[in-house]
Amino acid sequence: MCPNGKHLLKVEGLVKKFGGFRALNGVNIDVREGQIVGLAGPNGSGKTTLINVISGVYRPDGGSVEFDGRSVYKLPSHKIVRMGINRTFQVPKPLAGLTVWENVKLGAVYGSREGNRRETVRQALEIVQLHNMKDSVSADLTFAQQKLLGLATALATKPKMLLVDEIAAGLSHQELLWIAEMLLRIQKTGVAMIVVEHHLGFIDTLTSDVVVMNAGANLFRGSIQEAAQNDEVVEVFLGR
Amino acid sequence: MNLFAYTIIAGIMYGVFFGLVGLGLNIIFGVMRMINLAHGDVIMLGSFLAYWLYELLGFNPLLVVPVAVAVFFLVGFPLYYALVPRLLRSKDPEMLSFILFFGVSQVIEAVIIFAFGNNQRSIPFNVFGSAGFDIFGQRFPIAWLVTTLVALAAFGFIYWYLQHTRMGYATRAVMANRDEAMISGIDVNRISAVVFCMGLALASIAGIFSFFIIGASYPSMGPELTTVSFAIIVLGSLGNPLGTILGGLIYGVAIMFMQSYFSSWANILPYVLLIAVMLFKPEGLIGKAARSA
Repeated sequence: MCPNGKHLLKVEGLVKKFGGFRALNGVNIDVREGQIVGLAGPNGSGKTTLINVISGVYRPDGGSVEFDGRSVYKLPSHKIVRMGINRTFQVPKPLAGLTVWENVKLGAVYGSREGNRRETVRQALEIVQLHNMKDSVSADLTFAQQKLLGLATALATKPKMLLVDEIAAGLSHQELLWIAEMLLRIQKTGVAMIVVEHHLGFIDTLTSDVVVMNAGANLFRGSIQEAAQNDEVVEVFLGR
Repeated sequence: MNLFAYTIIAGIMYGVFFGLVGLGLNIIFGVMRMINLAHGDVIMLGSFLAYWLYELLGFNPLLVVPVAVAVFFLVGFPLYYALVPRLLRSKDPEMLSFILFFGVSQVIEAVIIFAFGNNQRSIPFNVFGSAGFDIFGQRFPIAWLVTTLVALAAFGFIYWYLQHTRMGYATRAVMANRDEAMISGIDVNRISAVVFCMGLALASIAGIFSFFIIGASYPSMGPELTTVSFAIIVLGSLGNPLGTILGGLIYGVAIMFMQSYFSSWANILPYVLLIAVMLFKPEGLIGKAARSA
């Protein structure tokens, strides 16, 4: 964690409505350079909606989103990606007809304006350890490998910030440990992250800074240990 | 035997043309996941453009092709940006697109009937010369050969665009998965706009040569052509532009057989094919694996 780094992402009062339903109701979150922030909360609390709004997949209805000193509010996804924010999807969405290499190359070609693209793709595949499967068609990968492919594509755009959406869901304990190590290695290269996760133990291996959301709003911010002592957090997780 | 050989050869030429008829609809569906119900009306507009340029200025239909491409790119961009981004942000874009493009289809038809009346119009078959050409002892009009070559050139162009250009690479990505393409840094709206215009231009090119296959052009021909196009792309594979050529060939040969041997039943063919494919192979003959590529 880099608690003394300057603010990279600053979200204030973010609102997203679907018809009459407020999926985000004034959410605030800030992330410093190189920091990992865990994002937890029960189903329907607005975690993935927040990721979708920050990454430009959904258009917000109010509030502000600043990244690296510039507003990214209502910008289209491709511009947000080129400014340095990228994300993974909860359900991986590889380009099924393309090979692993072609998938990642897409990120290097369109999402990043700098460096040797071939080298960028090679490095991204090496980080997620898919380099030996570079010629496989992405549709033939396992669910876990498809998640890693999504991460590699995001890394190929050379992000300063990654929004990682439930990468641990459906993975074995061994796979979780390995992915946690990998995310920490990515962090060491200076990439900040918001890691959305139900699995609080997984978040605990990554960071001591957790934001808990409930009903589209902030409920708590602190360490996992502090969260476990917080009555409101315990109530929304356990329904007591 | 002569009729059989004629039917097969003519069916293949018809099929290539009908592949072109469906190509624009399929490429738009592939990128936007929307069915352009005004597709047949754009084909009709292409035929009217060719007819009037021939009547007033003596333009050969081949010369109308670049004019139509330019016109439909000029019209397509503002039309796309006026309608589609707003549609994509709605709760149910697929359903709304049906209603919206149906409305566009009705408006085009009404305006053309108002402007020109609902008469049939045609360009003479001998516009490319009166000589025919022979294949396996069967004689065919030269206009069919020209139409087939233009349709093949259109397929060749789409293949080149998708496989060998940077924008085509991005287009394939958007076709495979819009969200993933977006977060790879691709401007999906720009790609969609270009492909939308390309779809309109391809439909208009089919319209220019429709006289030589369908016989005549008239303002209310649009909805029927949309149905035929839909049957063709469902037959090939929805969302896979190059699968359209297979759908077109099957449709072309089948319709030629119907016209040769059971002519009074020929008009129900697109509907029968649609129902059969939906019941027995809803993913199209090329199948799911190819659809996502």
